[in-house]
Amino acid sequence: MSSPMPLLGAPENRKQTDIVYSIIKCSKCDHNDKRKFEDGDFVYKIIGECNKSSCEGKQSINMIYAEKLEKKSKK
Amino acid sequence: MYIMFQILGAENPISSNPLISLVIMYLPLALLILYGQRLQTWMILNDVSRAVGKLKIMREKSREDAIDYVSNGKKNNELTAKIDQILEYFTIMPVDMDPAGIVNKVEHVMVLRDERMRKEIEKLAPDVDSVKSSSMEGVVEIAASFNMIYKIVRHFYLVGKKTTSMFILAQLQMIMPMILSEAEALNGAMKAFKKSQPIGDGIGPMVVGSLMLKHEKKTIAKDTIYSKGKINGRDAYFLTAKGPEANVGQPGTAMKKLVEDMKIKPSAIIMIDAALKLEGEKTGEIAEGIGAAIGGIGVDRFKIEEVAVNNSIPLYAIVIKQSILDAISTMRKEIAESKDKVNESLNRLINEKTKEGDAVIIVGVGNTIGVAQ
Repeated sequence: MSSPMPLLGAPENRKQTDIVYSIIKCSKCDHNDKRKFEDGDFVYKIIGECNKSSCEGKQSINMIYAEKLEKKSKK
Repeated sequence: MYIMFQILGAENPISSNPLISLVIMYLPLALLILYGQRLQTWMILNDVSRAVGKLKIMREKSREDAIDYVSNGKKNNELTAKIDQILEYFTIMPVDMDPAGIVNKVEHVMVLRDERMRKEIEKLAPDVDSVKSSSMEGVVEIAASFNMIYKIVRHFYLVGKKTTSMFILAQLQMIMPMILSEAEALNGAMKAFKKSQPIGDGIGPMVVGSLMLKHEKKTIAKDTIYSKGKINGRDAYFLTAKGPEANVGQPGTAMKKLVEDMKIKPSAIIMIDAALKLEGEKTGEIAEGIGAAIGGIGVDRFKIEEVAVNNSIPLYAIVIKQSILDAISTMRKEIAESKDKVNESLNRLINEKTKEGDAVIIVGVGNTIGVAQ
């Protein structure tokens, strides 16, 4: 419901969009990856082998967090 | 300017007729004196009415979300009717005229309430896994909260309108920003629970969960697990709710079992929890203190304090500051990244307050949605 008049005392509209990321970390080489959150992700979920060919460690989700979408600067 | 002078009578009178001048000058004043309050009431009523409308839309949306989520997009009349029934569930708190023993009564009522909700969700969606089922519980609870908030606000709005009482309406208008903030927070929670994402309140279990990763986990109370490990030469007992399901567990009961049944004699209990920040404080800021850092209705805090007092165990707290919106929405980056700083504080506290060979209980307090151990 949009109103021409601002609602007195209402909190400012949060129009900023958040993007949720999963941070993936290798248990052995501490290699970090950041990708968008996927359904089924949870913190400390084991994803699989480390991406680095030389490393034999296992990757797991170290953190999941929401980050504000950066606004594009006007040219 | 000329008109103003005219009205004020500074230069020329408004009219040559003194009666007309009198009417123009004093009639609005008289009207404001007589009807000013009504005008103000009308303005407040209009303002509150728009806020009630906004809450109604939020309530309807959350109801639709709950039905869609539980039915997995295949809604039918029976399921819709059942969800509508669940949204109206209420809890009668025990009588507190004679407060002796009230904690057990409150616990009994709350456990029964949670059990009932869990059973209802299991009946509605029997084939889903435990993570999704607990998220469904959360989604339905959020929709029920929206329903309750809307109905209470509407009640006072209608009473104020019926009685044209400016005092009822003005009070409602004054608290409306807080109510709308709570509603915004619930909106954030709905998004997080639908996707089973960790929320800001889950930072305590996230810190303790990382310490439990390499150890065997045992169930100690309903939805609550513990592990035994070593930190800086101390025997550490890690305690938290079981994730990645949306649980808060029963840390009070678990603490009682650890100390009284399992006869563990800790030199310190350290609790890690999210805490509401004051305006001006930074999200993700850490503070250390004394006492049982645990929210909720008070049952778990009472039990932990009782165990600590009866066994002379010092209680230490590490809290991570956040707003109510951050606490129940998807975890913000600042909160997630405070994990390392919390670990530093925890290690320092253990080294300062306990000796090698001592036992220490570390409790991660909060909702474990999206956080495993």
